[in-house]
Amino acid sequence: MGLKEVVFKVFRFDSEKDILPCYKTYTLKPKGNESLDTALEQIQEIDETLLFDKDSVIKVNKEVVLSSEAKVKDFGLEICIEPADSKRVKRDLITEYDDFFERFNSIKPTLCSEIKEITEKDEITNFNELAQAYFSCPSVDVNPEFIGPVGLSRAYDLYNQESDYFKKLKRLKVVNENNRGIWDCAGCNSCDRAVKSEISPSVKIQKLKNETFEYDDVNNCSYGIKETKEVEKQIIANGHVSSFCTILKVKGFKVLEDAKEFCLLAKNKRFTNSKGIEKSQNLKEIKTLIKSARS
Amino acid sequence: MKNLKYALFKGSRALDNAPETLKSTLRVASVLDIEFVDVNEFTCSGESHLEDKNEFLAILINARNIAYAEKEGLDIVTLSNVDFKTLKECKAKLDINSNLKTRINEHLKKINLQYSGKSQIISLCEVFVKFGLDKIKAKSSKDLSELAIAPYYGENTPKNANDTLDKVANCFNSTIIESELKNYPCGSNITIRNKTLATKLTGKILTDIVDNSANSILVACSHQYLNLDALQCSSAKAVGRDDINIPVFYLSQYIGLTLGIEPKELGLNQNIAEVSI
Repeated sequence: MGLKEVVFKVFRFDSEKDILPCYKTYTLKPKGNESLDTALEQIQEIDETLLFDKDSVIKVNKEVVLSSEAKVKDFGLEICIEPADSKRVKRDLITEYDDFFERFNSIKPTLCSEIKEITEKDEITNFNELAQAYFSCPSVDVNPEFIGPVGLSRAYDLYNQESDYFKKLKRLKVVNENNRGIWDCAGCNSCDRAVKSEISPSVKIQKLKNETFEYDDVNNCSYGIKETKEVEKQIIANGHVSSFCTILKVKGFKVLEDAKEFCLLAKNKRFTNSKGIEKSQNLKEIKTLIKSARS
Repeated sequence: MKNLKYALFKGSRALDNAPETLKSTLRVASVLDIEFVDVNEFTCSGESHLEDKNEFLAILINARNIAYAEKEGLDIVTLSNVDFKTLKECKAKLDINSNLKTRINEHLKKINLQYSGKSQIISLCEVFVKFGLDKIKAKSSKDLSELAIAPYYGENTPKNANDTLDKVANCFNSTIIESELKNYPCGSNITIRNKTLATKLTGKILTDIVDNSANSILVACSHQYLNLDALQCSSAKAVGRDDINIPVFYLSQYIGLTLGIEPKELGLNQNIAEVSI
C-alpha cells in the first residue's frame, strides 16, 4: 500500500515586506513517526524561502504545540501550520517574544528593588513549556493587559517563597488588579495541557484566588472578589444566583453600561430579580453546613 | 424499555435569564416520556465561584446537592456544562479520596444526609443519546435541512462528547458547519467581572461561525446559550463587526422543533437573535 499524501498549508509572512500574510501549500509523503520539525525541514528543501525555528512553539490546526514533539501522524491529512501568534510574527513561523517577556517581567522577583529584566529564552527554565502555555491562553490573545498564565504562575511561586505578611499581601494586590490578574482567566485550562510540572498554572491561579480570601483587605475594588462574595451570599439567602443582583453588586452604577442588554432581556421576558428567582428548600441546611465547615 | 428518569439540576442560569433552556427541556421531555424530577432542595453549584473562595465549602455544598439526588435514587442531569463540570469534579474528588468523603459526610450528617457516590452526573446531550437519536427521529415531523448549523461545544465538554451535537444535527439533516473555535471559551464565567474580555471571546467565536457561512448555532449549555445569544450585539461590536445576527438554538429547542413542537412552547420567541423557522 502506498504512503498517504499529507497536504501542509503553511503561513507565510515577512514583516519587512508584506502587508498581509498568505498560506502556501506543500504536499509530502510522511514515512510514519516524523515530528513537525522534520516535516518543516522537508518543506524547506522544496521551498528554501520558508523560515522557522526548530524546537519552537507553533500552531498546528489551531492547536499550540512544540514543533520537536508534535507528530505529523496526529494531525490528519490536511495540516495547517501557523506561528504561535500571528499578530506578533517576524517572519513565516517565527514569532517575536517581546510580549511574552513583558508580561513575564511584570511580576517582579523582588517587590522593592530594581532588577534586570529577563529578555532571553535560555534565562527561563522550561521556556518551551511556558511559551506553549502562554500562547494557548485565549485571554492572552484578546486582552493585552492580562498578565497571563505564566506570569501568574510565577507570582504564585514567589508568593509561596515570601514569609512576610505585608509582602505576601502586596503580591496578592498585584494579581487582584482588575483586567489583568487572576480574575481575568477564562478558566478554560488550555495552559495546563502544555505544562508538565506538578502544579499546573490553572491550579496556581486557583490557589491565588483562595489565598486572596485569607486576607481582609487585598483589593476592595476587585470585581472578582466582589462577585465571589456576592454569589456565596445569594446561595446562602436564596439557593440560586440572580445575574442582575450580582452585576449590580459588582459594578454599582456602572451597571448602566449594560442597560441595552438588560432592556433586551426584559423585553424578551428573560429577566428576574432576587425576588423573582426560585428559592431552594431547606436553606437552613446551607447555613448549618457553612457554620459546621468553619468550625 | 423503562422510561428514563433523572433528577433535573436546573442551575441558576435556567432559573434566571435563560429560562427557555428549562422550558424547552421540560416540553421535549414530556413528548419523549423522559421524567425529570424537580429536587427543590438543589442549590446553585456555585459554578467556579465557591471554589474560588473555599474549595472544601464548594465540595460540601455540592455533596449536599448530590446527596439529595441519591436520596431519590436518581442520576443528575444538568442544563449547563459549568454545572456539569462542577458537580462531576466534586464527585470525582469525593470518590477518589476516602478521607475527604468521610470528612464531608461528618458535616452532612448534621443535616441528616449522606454522600455515597451512587448518583452519576449526566449532561443533557447524554440523555438524548441514551434515549436514542434514531427513536427521536422516528417521532420527528419537521425537517431541519434548511439549517446550516455550527455546533459549539466550549471548553468544558469532555473529549468523548465532543461530537454529540454534530450527531444530533446530522440525524435531522441539517448541514454541519465546522468551526475551528468550537472548543474556544466564550468567557461566560468572566462576563460579569470583565464584559469587555468576555465579549471579545464570544465575538471571535461568532465571527468564525458566520464567516464559515452558518445560519444558526447549536449549543448544549445554558451559559453558552446566554453569551452567544444575548451578548451577540456587543460581542460583534467588540470584534469590530456589524453584520452578526445569527439564531442560537439550545439543544432542547432544536430537538423540540424536529418533534413538531410550537416554537413558542420552546421559548424560541424569547431568543434575542430572532429565530424564523
